[in-house]
Amino acid sequence: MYGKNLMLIIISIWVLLFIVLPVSAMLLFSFWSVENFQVIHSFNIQNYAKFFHDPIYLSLFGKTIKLALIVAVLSALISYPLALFVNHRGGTYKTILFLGVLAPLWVGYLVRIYSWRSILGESGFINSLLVLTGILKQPSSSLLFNSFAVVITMLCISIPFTFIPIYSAIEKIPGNLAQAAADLGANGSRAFWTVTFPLSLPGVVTGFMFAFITSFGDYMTPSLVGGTSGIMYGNIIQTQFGNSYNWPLGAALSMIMLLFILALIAATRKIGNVQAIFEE
Amino acid sequence: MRLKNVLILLMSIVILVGLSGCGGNASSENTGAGKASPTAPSNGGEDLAKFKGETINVLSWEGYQEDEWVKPFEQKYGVTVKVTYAGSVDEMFAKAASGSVKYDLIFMDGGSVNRYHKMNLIQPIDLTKLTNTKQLIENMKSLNDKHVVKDGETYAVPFAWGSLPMMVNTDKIKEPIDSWNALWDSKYNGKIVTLDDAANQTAMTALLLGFEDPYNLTDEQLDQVKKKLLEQKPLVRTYYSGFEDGKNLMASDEGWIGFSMGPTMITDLQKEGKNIVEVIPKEGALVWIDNAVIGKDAKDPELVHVYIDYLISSEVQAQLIKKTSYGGVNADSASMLTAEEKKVSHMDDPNYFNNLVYVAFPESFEKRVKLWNEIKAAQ
Repeated sequence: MYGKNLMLIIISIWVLLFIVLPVSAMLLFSFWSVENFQVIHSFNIQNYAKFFHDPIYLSLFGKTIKLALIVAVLSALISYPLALFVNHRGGTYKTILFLGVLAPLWVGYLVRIYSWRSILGESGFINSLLVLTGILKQPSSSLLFNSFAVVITMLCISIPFTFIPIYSAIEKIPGNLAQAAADLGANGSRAFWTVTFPLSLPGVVTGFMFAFITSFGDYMTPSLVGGTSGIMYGNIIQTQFGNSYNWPLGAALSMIMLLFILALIAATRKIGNVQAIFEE
Repeated sequence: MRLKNVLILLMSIVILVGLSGCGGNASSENTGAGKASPTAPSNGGEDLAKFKGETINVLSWEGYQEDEWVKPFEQKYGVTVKVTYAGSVDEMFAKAASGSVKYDLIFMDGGSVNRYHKMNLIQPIDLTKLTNTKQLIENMKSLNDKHVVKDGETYAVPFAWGSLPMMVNTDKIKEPIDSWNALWDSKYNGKIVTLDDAANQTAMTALLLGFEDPYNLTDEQLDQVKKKLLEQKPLVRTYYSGFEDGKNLMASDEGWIGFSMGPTMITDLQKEGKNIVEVIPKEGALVWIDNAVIGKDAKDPELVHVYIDYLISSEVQAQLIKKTSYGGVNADSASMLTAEEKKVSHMDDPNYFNNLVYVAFPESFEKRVKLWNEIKAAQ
């Protein structure tokens, strides 16, 4: 019992120190304002009003949702067959293949972004290959510094996060269910759509949300590979904390993002019922 | 239960990734360990023992407090110089404004002095206590004074400077370039790189448009700047987000011509074998001048004055130039440099300053950041 209580205390301190306190501070800041580089500690909602009045915030919010959705959908579409393959065909190499998918996580975040820049760049790997094989006469400049490059780079970061929950969900499905389906006359694709897929759906939703959330808040990727239009909602928040010294506006914009993500998680909880996977 | 473990692992990875993203602003402390140089400061005749055992808390940029000159000072006076480095203007401001450590000496660009002065974070400097100010490069000092002298009181002494010139790859661009207009030239479509920085990007465009004070623009002028930058956007390969990022773009030929972050960016590229040259366009270029200022609550302002006087001496300035290639502020230090060092740091040409415009404090950072975000968000 003693150990359990100690654990509880440590977790509570962690939650208090790293979640409750910072978020409360952010909430408080979001109602303040700045004048002459001094934070004015008086309550008002003008920062939140700005978000709805100035078209730039809403339009970037929309653009960010769109990009994060594309990344999350692609990430799930790629991870699912990958997870099926590793689970069913992996055999003795299962562990190696599993770790292989997670490999991008072993490399630093910035290093990964810069690597994509040298892969997609004009004198980069893909262009050299295309020119060498004669497919292109001139190296193409349209691979890098646009939304395409942003999506590719974010995919590299989000696929491992999508892969793990999907893989776990598929692995959980007892093999005799597929057998039973076959015995009852279901062919391969019917068995997949009526048995495997519905049972793995919670994993898909969890993975989808992980991918969506990691891409939604990213601001380094768009600014390093996104080119002249490489701006997303996260960049707007980041610039408020720089020289413009508008921490209250930055805090309000962050709160809006936080609430949006929380609402999304609450909405998808039903489909992605994590508990359902735990209970076997 | 296995899934639970996997989820816990996953969450820890998410947290770690999140943390590593925040780790960019490295700050370190340097208490001055290292080899000592034989050149000791020579402020002869004063009582060396009176500061013994004291500590100076310095908030500085990387490269400004090197052992070569800090060590001899510490030994001569028996004091400790405790340095905290800031990685960005914002980090420095946050550190100084938080008040958790009372800094005796802070280094900042002259344009920021106004903000620190307004927030009552600094105190005036007593020029009668400084002996080396008369060796300061004259036109540089008078340019700087316009921004750091408030109500007749001097709040800052220049320490180092650098320009923000244009960089041109002469292997790719053969014609002579002499105007910022080249960054708007459709001939170089897709080969132009420029800085992802609201204040200086606005100021450079204002220079091109011929506005008198690029750091004090009216709303109407800001509108014109915005229009001009929108015109440029389709031609630009990308807006780079830092020194290394910009070098990387020019080195890999993604960019042929660009707005640079300083001559050291260009000399670094030359060392890598690129034929990239510096151009100060006819409209002028921006120049930052970093200054030393004394914190409001400095423990012993007299000692800080002695240290500042030492830092702007020709000996220390020559060491600074050799080590960093920044411009020095002491005219006499030029005699201690090789011809090559003088050229790289522009210490050979006092007229270099005549075509430079001071990086000052803008009319409103907020407006410039908003303008710049709108340009990046424009379709």
